[in-house]
Formats: sequence, C-alpha cells, structure tokens
Amino acid sequence: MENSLRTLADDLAKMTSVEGSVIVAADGTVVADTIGGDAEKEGAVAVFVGTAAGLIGSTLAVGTFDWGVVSMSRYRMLIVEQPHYFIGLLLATKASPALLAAQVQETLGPSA
Amino acid sequence: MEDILTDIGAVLGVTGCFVCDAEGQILASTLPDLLDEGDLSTVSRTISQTTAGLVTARRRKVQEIDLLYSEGRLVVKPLRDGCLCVVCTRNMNVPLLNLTVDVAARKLTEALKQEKEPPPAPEPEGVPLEEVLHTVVDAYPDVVSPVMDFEQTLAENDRRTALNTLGRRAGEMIYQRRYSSMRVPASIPRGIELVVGPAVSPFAIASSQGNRLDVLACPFCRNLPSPSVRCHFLAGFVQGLLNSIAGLEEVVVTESLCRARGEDTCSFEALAQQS
Repeated sequence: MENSLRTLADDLAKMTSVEGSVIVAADGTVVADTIGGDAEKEGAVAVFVGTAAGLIGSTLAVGTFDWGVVSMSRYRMLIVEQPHYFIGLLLATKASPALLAAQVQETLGPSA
Repeated sequence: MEDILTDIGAVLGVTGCFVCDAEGQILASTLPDLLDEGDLSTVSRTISQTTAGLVTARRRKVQEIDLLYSEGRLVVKPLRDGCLCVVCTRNMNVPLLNLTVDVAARKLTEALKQEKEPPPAPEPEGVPLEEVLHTVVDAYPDVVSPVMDFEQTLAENDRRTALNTLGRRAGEMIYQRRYSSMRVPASIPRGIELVVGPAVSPFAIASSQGNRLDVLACPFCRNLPSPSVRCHFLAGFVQGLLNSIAGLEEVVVTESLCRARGEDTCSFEALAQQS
C-alpha cells in the first residue's frame, strides 16, 4: 500500500497549481510526500484540520466532509479526507481548491 | 455583536453564524435552534483548538478555514480573540461572502476588544486627574509644563500610576482629536511611525525603530537623576495612542531606558499584551 500511496503523492504533486503533496495517516504518520524537509509539519496541518472537520461536520449535521482549505498568508493547503488517510496539497497562488478537489477525486478513481 | 451577525445572515446562502472567544465559548449566534448549546460549544471549542494548533504548528496567523461538506459549508475567520464561523450552503460563493464577512470580522474584532478592555486603573485618591487631563489636552502640544507642574503636586507613591494614567488618557484623547480619521495599518511599528512619532515630535525629539520609540533629550526627566525610570506620562501617552488604533492588538508600553538613570535616551517598548 505504501508504494501505491507514494505513486499517488507523486501524481497529485504533478497536477497544475499544486506545489507539493503529503499523505498522512489518521494517526499523524506521514506515509508519502513530495515536500521533503517539512513533511511532518505539513502532515500535521492536514491531519489536524481533517480530524477537526470530521467532528465539526457530524455535530453541525452538514453531512460528510469533502475537502477543506486552510489559508495562512500566501500558504494554502487543500485537505481531502480518505477512509484511512488525509491528503494535503500545497496550493499555488491562483489554484482553485474546488477544481483541484475534483481532480483529486478523478485521480483516486471511482472506488475512492 | 448580534447586529453584525444579522448582517452576515442576510447574505444569500448563509444558514447562520456564530462568534466564539479564544477559549471556544459562544459569544453570539444566529444559528437556527436546531443545535443544542452543548453541540455548538463542542464545535466552537474544536475550531478554537484547531486554529490555535495551526498557529503553533505553522507559526503563522490563520486567515481562513473553508470546510466543504456534502450538505453544507463552514467558513471560519479567526479574529484577534476568537473566531467568526459562518455556516452556509454547499454552493456558497465564498469570495462574495467574504465581501460582507471581512467587514464584519473587523467590526467584531473591535467589539471583542471593547468587551475585553480592562476596567480603568483606579485613580490615586485625592488626585484631581480629570481636571489636569483637560488642561494637558487643551495645552497640547505644550504639555510639558502642565505635566511637570502636576508631577510636583504628587506624593512619591502616587507618581507612577497618576502620571501613567494621565498620559494614557491624554494619548487616547489626542488620538480622537487628531488621528481618528487616519487609516493606520494595524501594526505596532506602523502605529509608532505614523501616529506616535508625529504626536510626540512637537514636544520631544523622537525616532522610531520597530516596536521602540527613542526620545532624545526627554523634557520629562531633564536634570532629574533617579535610580529608576521616570517618564511615566510619556509611556502612558504612547500606550494611549497605540491602543486607540482600530484593529491593533492590545499594547502595553514600558520605558526600558531613561536619561534620568544616566542612559543616552529614554526608550519606550510597545509589546502586544499577550506576549
């Protein structure tokens, strides 16, 4: 599975307007990334927001969490939840989170 | 605060919104009564902890968290001392929503700042501060004489508090009279550069560097050697000016160097109260 996640991380990082990708397990372990040095930090953001989003969504009764974006100055991360892990994508300035989230779903395939 | 939230609620697609403080306590809400208070508290605590955690992890201020769900959307705007959370429909146009929400966030930051404003420091007993305050403000920029005259009437124990309070309130009043119409960025260095420096310059030679104001040949401690800093009026004055700037975090000003102690300048450091 780790190999397929590494391939997935590479494929996601190749998408237009994506500057890097990280795949992190729900327990916070970074399983694949294309970021390098700061992968743990980026993974922490993805798992932190993804986990909180799940809890908030079920309490507010707004359905299942699809994706989220955290903006901090020029830094933007798109977080997409999968059954056993979270995907974090570092976005370029003009990236559209909605379009990229749709592209991620296409990359993951219909079973995701 | 409810009025501000009502404005957001008027935007098409908004289901409701709420404001919580930094501890996750709900301060105001326009969400429909479908949620019980406990659930909303859980959400607000989760949001507060998440934004605080992100700031710690990334060492950057969170500007927005946008969460999309199958049946709705949550947009979180961190405020200085809390968060504004807007629940809306899934297909909400967030940039359009932000036109209203960004203005509301600024107003809410101000409202929260006023709510958290500490009660005014007790005035020393028997000190006619109100009377002196108006004399000093009316005399501005010739404030040195009335302040020094007032200082001479004070007992040693009252000096620091009375002069600092006088300075703070004079700074607030001068700001209202002269600078309130000015658009000043909510940053301590820019506040010192654009407001404090010009306000102090008519009666003292001042220069600014980042969060610090240096005053050369300070008129408040000239020929008054002292083992401790003594320009309490000026420290209060700088603090009063800075804390009047809209959107700026609460600031405490301390005098770090003083010519009365034999140092070359009188220096005033402004620090955000949280730090």
